[in-house]
Amino acid sequence: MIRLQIHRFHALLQACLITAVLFLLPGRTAAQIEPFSRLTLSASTVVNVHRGEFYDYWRSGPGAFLELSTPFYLGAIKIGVNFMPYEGREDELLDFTSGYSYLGWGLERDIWGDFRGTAGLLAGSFRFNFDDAESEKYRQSEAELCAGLSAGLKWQFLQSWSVDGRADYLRIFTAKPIDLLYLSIGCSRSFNTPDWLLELLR
Amino acid sequence: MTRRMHIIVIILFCATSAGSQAQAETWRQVITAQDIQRAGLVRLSDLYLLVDTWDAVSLDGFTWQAAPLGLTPGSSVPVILIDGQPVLGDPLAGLTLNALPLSVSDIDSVEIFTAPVLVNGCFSDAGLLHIHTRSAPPGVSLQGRYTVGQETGDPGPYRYTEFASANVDRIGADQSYGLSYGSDRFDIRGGFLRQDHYLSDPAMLARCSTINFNQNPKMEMRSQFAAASLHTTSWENRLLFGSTNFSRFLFHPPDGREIPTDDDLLILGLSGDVALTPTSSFQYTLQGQRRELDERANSAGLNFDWRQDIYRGHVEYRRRVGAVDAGIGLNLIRTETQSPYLPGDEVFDQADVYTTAAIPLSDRGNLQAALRAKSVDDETGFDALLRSGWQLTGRQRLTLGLAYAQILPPEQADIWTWRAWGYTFDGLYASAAGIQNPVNRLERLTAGLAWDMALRPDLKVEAGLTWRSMRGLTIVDQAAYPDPSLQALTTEAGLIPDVAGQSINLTGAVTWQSLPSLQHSWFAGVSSAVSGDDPFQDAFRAEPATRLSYTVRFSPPVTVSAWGKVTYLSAREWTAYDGIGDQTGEAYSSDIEDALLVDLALTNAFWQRRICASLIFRNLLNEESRCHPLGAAFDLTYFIQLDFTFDSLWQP
Repeated sequence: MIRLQIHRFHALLQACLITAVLFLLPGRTAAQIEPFSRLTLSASTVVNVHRGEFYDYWRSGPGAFLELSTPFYLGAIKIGVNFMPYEGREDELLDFTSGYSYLGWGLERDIWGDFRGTAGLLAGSFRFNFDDAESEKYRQSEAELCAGLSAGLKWQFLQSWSVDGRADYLRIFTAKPIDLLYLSIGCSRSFNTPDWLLELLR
Repeated sequence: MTRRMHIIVIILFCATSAGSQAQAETWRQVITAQDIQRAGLVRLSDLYLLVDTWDAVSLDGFTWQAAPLGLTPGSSVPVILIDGQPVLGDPLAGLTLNALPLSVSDIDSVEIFTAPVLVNGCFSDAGLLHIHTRSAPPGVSLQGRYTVGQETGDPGPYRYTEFASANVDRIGADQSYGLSYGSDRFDIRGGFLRQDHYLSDPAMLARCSTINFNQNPKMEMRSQFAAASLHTTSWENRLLFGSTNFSRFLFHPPDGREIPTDDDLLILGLSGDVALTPTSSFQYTLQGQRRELDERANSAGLNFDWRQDIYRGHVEYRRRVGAVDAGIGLNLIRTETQSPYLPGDEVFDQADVYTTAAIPLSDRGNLQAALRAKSVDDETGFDALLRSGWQLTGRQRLTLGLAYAQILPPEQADIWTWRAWGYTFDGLYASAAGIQNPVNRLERLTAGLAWDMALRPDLKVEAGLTWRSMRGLTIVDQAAYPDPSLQALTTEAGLIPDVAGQSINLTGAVTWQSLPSLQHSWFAGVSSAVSGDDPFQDAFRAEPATRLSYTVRFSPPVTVSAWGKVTYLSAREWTAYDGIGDQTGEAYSSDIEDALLVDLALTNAFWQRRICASLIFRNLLNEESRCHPLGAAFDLTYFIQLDFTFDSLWQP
């Protein structure tokens, strides 16, 4: 129990510290772009590094996530989806693949040169797709509310391209809450929002 | 029982300004479609989230009983109107908002009266909700809503470990779609609504699944609604049609558990307002309503087999004589009830005559009065309302009021009354032993005071005090015991007649518009039974004595809006279920702990507000939130809601 508390607190503390450092460092918030005028598509590989009680039951493999973000009236909003396999450490534990779809909001801040810090909030649905063919169909998957904090660093090496590193602390609100700490690295590309989509979003 | 005449100053907040901007007054509140959208209301019962002056109770999270503070929900039934037409409750099934054939998106505004009131010939001193539906925009318009939600607390991957727990299912999906056509002279609207609600809370799952052969017991509500109006500058006639099929689990109090039931409601009504002269007008309503309770598959083969038809005719004539607005009206109501469990068809006829007057007393004050004489079956009685409002200063108002109501036995009819009258449906247990005809005339006296002041243009303060005295109450004395064979409770019930008591309710509210786009509201309410018989005081403990809330509304001039509310409800106790904890190994408890509830709604509009997407959270802190000892606990729940509105797609 104590170990679980330390891990959970540790993960949350990491996320909060990163967020606070990013926004207390000297720098300036990225200039607010007109809402919905740009789209940024990101693809990353992700691992779960949280070593709480959940890790005693399941280990995870590397996963992937896709995210689409756009400037909002303040900061940016994003939608994304994340997939990751989990394997039970004992036979009676179900293996599953997680599908986490989320809506997020965040701020960006210029740190130094081409480097920017990001921090924000996430909320979404965490779906467990169980490897449980013997059960009724409705029991082969479950979805639960998931929410968390996100903090990251972005290196814009070209005008429309950047390399992103990020840490997401997530809590899944199952009866016994599950805490995860995702670390991801990937790249993203920005482009102007098509006119038809711009009209739809505004 | 002798009658007493009470000549008192009464406060009556009549429906005189239904079209006013959204506002919260101590005794009358108007909720607009914008309020509803911003707060992310999903179902009609969510309206109670926006009303601090009422208490609402539910076992299953779908069917709610509510009443103004100072009146315990279930002991008194508020009146519900849709566009001036009452939807009348049923003694067995009651009336729950979510069973109305209306979607939240059909609403233009809702008036909620906490004080005694007379609206369209309908009197209520136990609360009144008047729902005004949207009128059709010009041309053809289309609207719809899709909502899916989920309550947290699923077991997740732990289902085969020592941390296993019951699966908590999704809420919905709820869907509603509507089509309308509007023009200068007439408009017509129609739509349908579908709502699904799963009973997966551990407190209810076992007893509902065993009686329904279903491991995932579910309630389904399907309804259709249509309305049409024909209007000119001097008259308007409205037709209203609504039909609901509600496949539900109806809580049967004598059994202390739910019985699967198909609950059908049909409403058809015609109403109109006619301006006869510049100073006189005429209003009428003709309405028929049918409510049927039929069998839904269950292991006990139980069927309420109940049908109640209600026919109502109402006329009212209003005239301005000098500075006085006066009115006189007539209601004729016939109620026909059929069931093989009754000795014969039961027919009640009700007639009442009423008169109203609004009299300016000076340039700062006015007096409104209403008196209704009624005859129900072979009983007669009367109700009286009096209100006086005063503009003390340019920014300060004071209203004083008094109401006296006699609720005759046929008007109080509930399951216990009907059992005493010979309804022999026993449910699972024959627990009607010893019930004589216990229901007497109920008298209720309500006195109130309301004060409000605009300290600044952006800051308003309100305070209210209501005192109620009741006598002739019939309190159910019910003891519950666990029955493991059905994972239910068996009850022994008796009725305690002629209970008397007095309650007091004190409220205060502050509203501050700190920025053009940011509004804060604080509310505090205290209710208590101040004196009376022990059964009255015991029953009153089922209502939270203290209610506090803080609401923030953020609506900047862009497409996004946010709404948040923090509510504190003090603990409550259901004395009828004393000892249930020991008997069931703490599976149930008569004590409901206090709760701090946080609700949040975030909405963004797209495509020039044709589409709105909302993310809604209820009970964000995941408090143990339960209203009833036998009912579900409502954990942290989230909803995703999509609204689309395409007004005036085509115009001739």
